Order: sequence, then structure tokens, then C-alpha cells
Amino acid sequence: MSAKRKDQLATAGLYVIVGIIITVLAGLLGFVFVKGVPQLSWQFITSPPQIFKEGGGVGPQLFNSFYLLVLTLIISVPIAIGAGIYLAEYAKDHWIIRCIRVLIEVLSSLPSIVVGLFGFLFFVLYMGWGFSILSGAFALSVFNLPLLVRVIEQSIHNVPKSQREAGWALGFSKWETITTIILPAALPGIVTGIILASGRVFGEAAALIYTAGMSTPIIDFTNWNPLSPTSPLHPFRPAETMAVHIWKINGEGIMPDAAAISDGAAALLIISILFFNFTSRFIGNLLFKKMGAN
Amino acid sequence: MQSVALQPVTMKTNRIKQADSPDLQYSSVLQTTNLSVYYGGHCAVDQVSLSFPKQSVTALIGPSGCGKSTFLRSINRMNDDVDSCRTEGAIYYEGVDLHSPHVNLHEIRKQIGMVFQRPVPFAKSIFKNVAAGPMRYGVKDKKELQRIVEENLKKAALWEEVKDQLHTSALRLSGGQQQRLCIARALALQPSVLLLDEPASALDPVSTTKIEELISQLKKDYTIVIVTHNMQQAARISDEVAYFYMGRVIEHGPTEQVFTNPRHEQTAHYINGRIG
Ligand SMILES: Nc1ncnc2c1ncn2[C@@H]1O[C@H](COP(=O)(O)OP(=O)(O)O)[C@@H](O)[C@H]1O
Ligand SMILES: [Mg+2]
Repeated sequence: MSAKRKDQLATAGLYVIVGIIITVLAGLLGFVFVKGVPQLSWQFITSPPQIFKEGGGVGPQLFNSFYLLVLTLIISVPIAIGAGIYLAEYAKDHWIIRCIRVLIEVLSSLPSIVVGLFGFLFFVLYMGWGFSILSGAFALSVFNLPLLVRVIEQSIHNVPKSQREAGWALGFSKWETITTIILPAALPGIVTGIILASGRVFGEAAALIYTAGMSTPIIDFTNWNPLSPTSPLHPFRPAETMAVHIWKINGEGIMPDAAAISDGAAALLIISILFFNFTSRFIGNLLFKKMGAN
Repeated sequence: MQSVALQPVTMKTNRIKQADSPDLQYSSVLQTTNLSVYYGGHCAVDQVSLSFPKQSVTALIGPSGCGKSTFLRSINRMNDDVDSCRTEGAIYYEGVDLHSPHVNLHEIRKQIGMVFQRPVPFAKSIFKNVAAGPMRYGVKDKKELQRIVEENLKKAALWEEVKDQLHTSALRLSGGQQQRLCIARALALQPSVLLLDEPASALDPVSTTKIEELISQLKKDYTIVIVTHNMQQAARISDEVAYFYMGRVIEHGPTEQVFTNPRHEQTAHYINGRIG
């Protein structure tokens, strides 16, 4: 067989594989949207679920998902930036550092249900936080950190060495160089990484079932005092998220329109995650442009 | 602690004052004696003793890998950050031994500016690129920063081209403009010595000419050490030339003499080979 023929065959093979992937993906998204989008309405997005009747919504669940995400980012982003800076700039090639890197790899491939059970044992029981937003946010942070650390380390690592030398040549210390020169240069990559990680966190269910819990108490959206138990911001209340809600009503939903609600919630979830992906691209590009890199 | 840290600065001002008095001849700002630099076991710079007169341009020439960059980088102690690198001998700046434990590394680098072969603008606005250094050393006042930025962009012959876009990203400038920006950035710290490592070798001819003109201008106020592979350039802009070969200085003297009447055959070979 001639090289040209081989090339043609290989190209054809790749087209077929790509075609299959696209078909599966489009089918999946199409299915979820066709069934789910008709369920979406303002009322659905804002009202609380009904247990026995039709016509419930997913308002609290949607709020919980975002609130948990925000808390998770507040906990994990500073730690990840610190760890990323350390690994990219300070860590020497030492066996302890190599062990840490392997641990991060392992941690990032840990099944999320295992992270959830760890969170249950540690945050819920040992720390005594119960099924709560705080337990959930910490569990999600454990789940999120390895990926975030690697993305941030990589972004910092990708800033050329010459930038560091230029900083040192101005008399900047290593730390000043990192904070005033390297981080701004790495920012587009870091922001993109954070937003992509957000999408993953937003859709996570298994890590939350045993930490943030599967129920939402009656919350009063007019009460924004975080210390009040009926406030949506109260960190020690249980908080079922969208993903957990979908999982729950598919298992034990007894409302008559359970299937419809699950479809609507699934569509809403996917729309949110697509939204994260597109914003990450948009913001990333914007930052790159602002820096003038293209 | 503070008095020790500031020693080189006070020394500098004292020396500059004394230099005017006739009894103290103080003409070379920078001087190395038997400076050797090793990477692991490899000797990249071998017992180099050079002195650089005030307000002059010294060109370092020689084949690739002969240690010109290493020599230059050891002057502002950039090689401190290379793990395998070890330095012997002494460097005197304004009479202060730069290897003495009392000198403040930040001060050294503030007073001895460096510009690299490839332009290295920071991912910031043009304004912030120039202001970064002065801000690091405590200038906070907006007006003052504005003045410093304008003054140094003018010195670097870049002001006219960028004055309407000071707050756009420096990465959008052309290579030649970026290099002049890097020069402005170094000048903003009011150094007295500028180390230039092949500053024009990555640039087009027009930008190269601009940089050369700039260097001839700057020599009125600064002591300049420039590495170059371009013999015409060395002849055009330098007052003195040092020819490096395998880490050693083979020949050092006034440009005119080294180019027209070199003492060593090897120097003649190198220069003729490069020009011919
Ligand atoms: N960071 C480094 N680590 C090890 N060896 C180096 C390093 N930098 C330069 N060298 C070696 O030192 C010698 C001089 O290099 P350099 O100073 O860059 O030469 P030039 O600038 O004259 O071309 C070369 O043999 C080079 O391989
Ligand atoms: Mg070199």
C-alpha cells in the first residue's frame, strides 16, 4: 500500500471516529434539551420543589448549586494559587516533591464518591458540621483542588523564564517578580482553569450526597443574615444541589411530575455548564487580547 | 541593617562628588579583577580583568560560547540564580566590591541595568512596564510616575510613537519598540551602568539603527557595556573593544586601534572573518 493510500485511509478512519463522537454528543445534548427545555419556566427556576403535588420547581437547588460553587472557589482558589506558585517556582526536584506530585495526580483521579465518603467521615462526623453547605464546600474543594493546582502550576510554568530574569534584573526579589510580573502574565490561563473547574464542580453529585445532604430546609429568600437558620446563606444548613436533586428524584421522587422535573433540571444543569465553558473561553480570550498576546 | 544596605548608594554619591576634585582620579565606574565564572566544572569566564571608563561604550566581541553573556551577567550578579554557577575574583562598582556580603543585591541591580537579547516586555501596559521599577522602589505619586514614564520613554526615543497609547498592552508593540521600551524600563531606575546583551540581534535593520543611535545618545549619561556579534556595529558605537575567546580576554583597547591595528593575530582573524 502506498504512503498516500495509507494516509487517506487513516484520515478516513479519523473522520469516522470524530463523526461517531459528535453524533453521540449531539444525540445526548439533543435528547436532554428536547425533553428538558419545554419544562423550563421562570416559575420552575424560582419556586421550591413539591413533594406530593405537581408543579414544583428547583429554585432552592439552583441557588444551592451556585452558593456551594462560590464557597468552594473561596476555599480552593487561594490554596490552589499558593500551591501552584510553590510547585512552579519554589519546589526543587526532590523526592518529597515528586511524591507530592504523584499524590496530586492520584487525588485528581479519585472517584468523587470516595471524596464524598471522606467528607462524610471527616467534615460531617469528625468536625461535627453535619450535612451542611460547609461540609459540601470542603468536600468539593478536596475534589477540585488537584485539578486547579495543576492548571495554575501549568499556567505559571508557561510564563517564559526570560520574564523572571527581566524582573530580577530590575532588582525585584523572587516573590515580587512572581506577584507583579508572573501572575499577571499567567492570569488568562489561571482564569480559564478556574472557570472550567467550576463547571466540573457545578455538576458534581456523588461528592455531595453524603456531605451537603439531600434535603433543603425551608429557606426564606428575604432573610440574608448568614447567622439565621432560615437564611439561604446559613453555612450549617443542609443544601441539596441541582445534580443531587436530579439523582434523588430519579430514585425516590414521588411527585407525579417527577420525570418532567428531572428532565427540566437536567437541561438547566447542562445549560449552566455550557455557560461556564463559553464564559471561560470568552474571558480567557478577552484577557489574552487585553494583554495583547494575539 | 539599613545603613549597611544603603552603603553602595551613599558611596556612589560620595564618589561622584569626589571625582570632580583633581586629587582623586576616578574614571572607571566598573572594574573586574581576575573574574572567573564556572558552570559546574566548566570554566566559562577565565580570569578576566577589565575596567570600564565612565560615559563610554565598551563592546564585548568574540565567537559564540566564548563567555560574553556569562561575563555580562556576572556583573549584576544574575548568575547568582543559576544553581551550578560559581564565581571567583572581584567586581568593583564605584569602588565597592559587589561580592561583599554587605552589598544589597537590589541596589546593585537598580544601579546596573540590563537589557536582554530578546525584548522582554511584561504583560502590562506600556506605562506600567516603565513604572514597575520606580514603583518597586517606593514612588507612589501619580504625577511623579507620569513624569518618570514620559522622561524615560523620551530618553529611549519611544515617546513620540507611544504617547497616545500608554495604557495599551506593551505586547502589542513591534519588536524594536519593545526593545526600546525595555531600555526605558531600565533607565527609569536611574542606573549608572547599562549592560546590553546583543540588544539588536533580534531586530530588523531600521530598529537596529534606532537602537544604535540611542546608545550613542545614552553614553553621555551612562556607562555602557554591550555584547555584539556585529563588527560594524561595534565599530560605529563603541569607544573600547574587548575580544573574548574561550573565556579569556585576548585583546582590549580603544575601538579604533583594535579594528585598524590589533595587537593579536587572532583578533585580526576574528574581525576580518566577521567583516569579510
Ligand atoms: N546556564 C548555563 N549552564 C551551564 N553552562 C552554561 C550556561 N550558560 C552558558 N553556559 C556555557 O558557558 C559558555 C559561555 O556561554 P555564554 O556566556 O552564553 O557565551 P556567549 O554569550 O559568548 O555566546 C558556553 O560554553 C555555554 O555552553
Ligand atoms: Mg550570549
